[in-house]
Amino acid sequence: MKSHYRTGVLLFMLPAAAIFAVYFIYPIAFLAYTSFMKWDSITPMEFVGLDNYRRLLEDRVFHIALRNTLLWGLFAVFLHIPMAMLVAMILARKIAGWKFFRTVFFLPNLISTLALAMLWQFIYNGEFGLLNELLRFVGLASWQRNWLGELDTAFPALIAHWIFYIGYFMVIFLAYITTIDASLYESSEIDGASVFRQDWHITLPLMKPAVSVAVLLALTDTLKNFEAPFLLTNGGPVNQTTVMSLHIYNRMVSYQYGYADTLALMLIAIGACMVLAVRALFREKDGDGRSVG
Amino acid sequence: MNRQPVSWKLFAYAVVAFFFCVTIVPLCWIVLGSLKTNRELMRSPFSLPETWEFANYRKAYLVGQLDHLFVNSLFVSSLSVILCLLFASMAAYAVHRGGRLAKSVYTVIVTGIFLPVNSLMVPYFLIASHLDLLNTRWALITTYTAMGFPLALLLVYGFVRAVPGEVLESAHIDGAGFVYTYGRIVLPLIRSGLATVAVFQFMLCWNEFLYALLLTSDHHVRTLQVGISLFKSQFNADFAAMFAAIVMSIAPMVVIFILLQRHVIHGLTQGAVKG
Repeated sequence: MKSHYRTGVLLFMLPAAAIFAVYFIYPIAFLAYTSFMKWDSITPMEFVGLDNYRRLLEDRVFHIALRNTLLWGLFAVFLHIPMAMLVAMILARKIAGWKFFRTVFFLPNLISTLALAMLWQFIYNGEFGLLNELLRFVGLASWQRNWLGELDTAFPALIAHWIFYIGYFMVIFLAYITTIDASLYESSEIDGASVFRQDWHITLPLMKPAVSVAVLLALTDTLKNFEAPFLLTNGGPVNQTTVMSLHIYNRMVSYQYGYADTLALMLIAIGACMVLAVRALFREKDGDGRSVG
Repeated sequence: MNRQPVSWKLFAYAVVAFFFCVTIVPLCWIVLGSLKTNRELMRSPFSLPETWEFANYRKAYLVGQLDHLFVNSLFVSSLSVILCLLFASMAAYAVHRGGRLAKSVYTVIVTGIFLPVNSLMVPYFLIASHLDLLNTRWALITTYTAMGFPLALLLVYGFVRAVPGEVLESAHIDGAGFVYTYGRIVLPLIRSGLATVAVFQFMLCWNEFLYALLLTSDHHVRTLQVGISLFKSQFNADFAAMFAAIVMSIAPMVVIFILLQRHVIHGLTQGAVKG
């Protein structure tokens, strides 16, 4: 029954193949090509060999952007996801009002990253911001500051504005926990295992596939980070809070297309390394189950 | 598993209370702020409003041109969802029926999920400009459709694959052709799956900012996110009205979510667990 469908299959694959060729393959090839060019988008490209790559080594802003992007990823994996896991484990025990809390924790995911950034801009505002006001309220007026404007608080403030919005991963974990066989808990309860030990020895090991998905999603999201740094700090003060996407954007809007494309290629390379690393890490032991892609 | 010790309960509620406050307090603060006068907002940003200034909302709606922004965002998102679902379901069906070649094309496309699409700023800008779409809503519709396509294909394929082979075979025996089977048998069977994918794609389009910023500049085609980012210059120092504008721009998604909660959460987790 296969062969008479060949034309049908071909025709139905056509839009997908076209989209992928135009919006994925061509752009990456284009980035690779223009990364060897000096190009301002107006005058013709000029071949400059490895100049753009050499510039990467000297570009301090790139180093900061790279550091911040990786730091952001570390926070996502080692703080954001564990927090989501903790809350999911708690709600999975069906504490009073767990459905309500699940809804509340998920709410920020419906608000765009841009609107959230806008909101936090006012929370961090030096004059009438919520954070300063709260500090005054609890008698810590001396801690008040212009959170986004000062060197040592700008990047932590940027991280903090998002890190407690754990709803998305919490919902994923919660759904996963409910698939775990309840009899495992019952028998361990008879053996006298505490709630903590149950979660540590039963839930956590079984969650491995969900964690691997979450880590991949969190890291991919990290690389797409643009709105918050763009709106909250625009990379400042003195470029200390810039991230890869923002750096690419800034090079592009200042007509350094060739160099912007070199940076973009680096971002893709980082992403590829992360995906490979995560998959290798999670496959290592029991090499089981539903990995992504 | 419902008898927990008191120490655990204390710990659990402390954790939940913390996250509850972090989530709710900022939202309440901005809602309250949107109902104050500017003077009061500056003087006591933390209290309940003395007089409830609903006029802020009227002003915000007019100055922010929110109706306009909503229409644009809705248009872009809806069309992109339709195109994405159409092409993804066609491809998924073709992969399901096709041979090894179709399967390997599928595998390649799906790796696109991990591509940080932010890196393609320059190429996407050029593609839109070559297609003569810059500064139109179609620039965003095409770009968003492409951006969401790999994930949509992965998800839709998961649903198509679950259609029993006997169903397709008996359709074939009854004389149903390739296209007929797709339209009349496969699509209706995966309807709820398509709804899930639609949620994903809609949220991607509705919340996307970077490419909306890069590909459009004219205020006629501006989407909601770009609109929000411009509130600062539009409202100048009228923070109370700006707060009202932010609240209004967030509210529809929140309301829709609370109404459709079960489907959305189910959809998103399905997607993530499958993906």
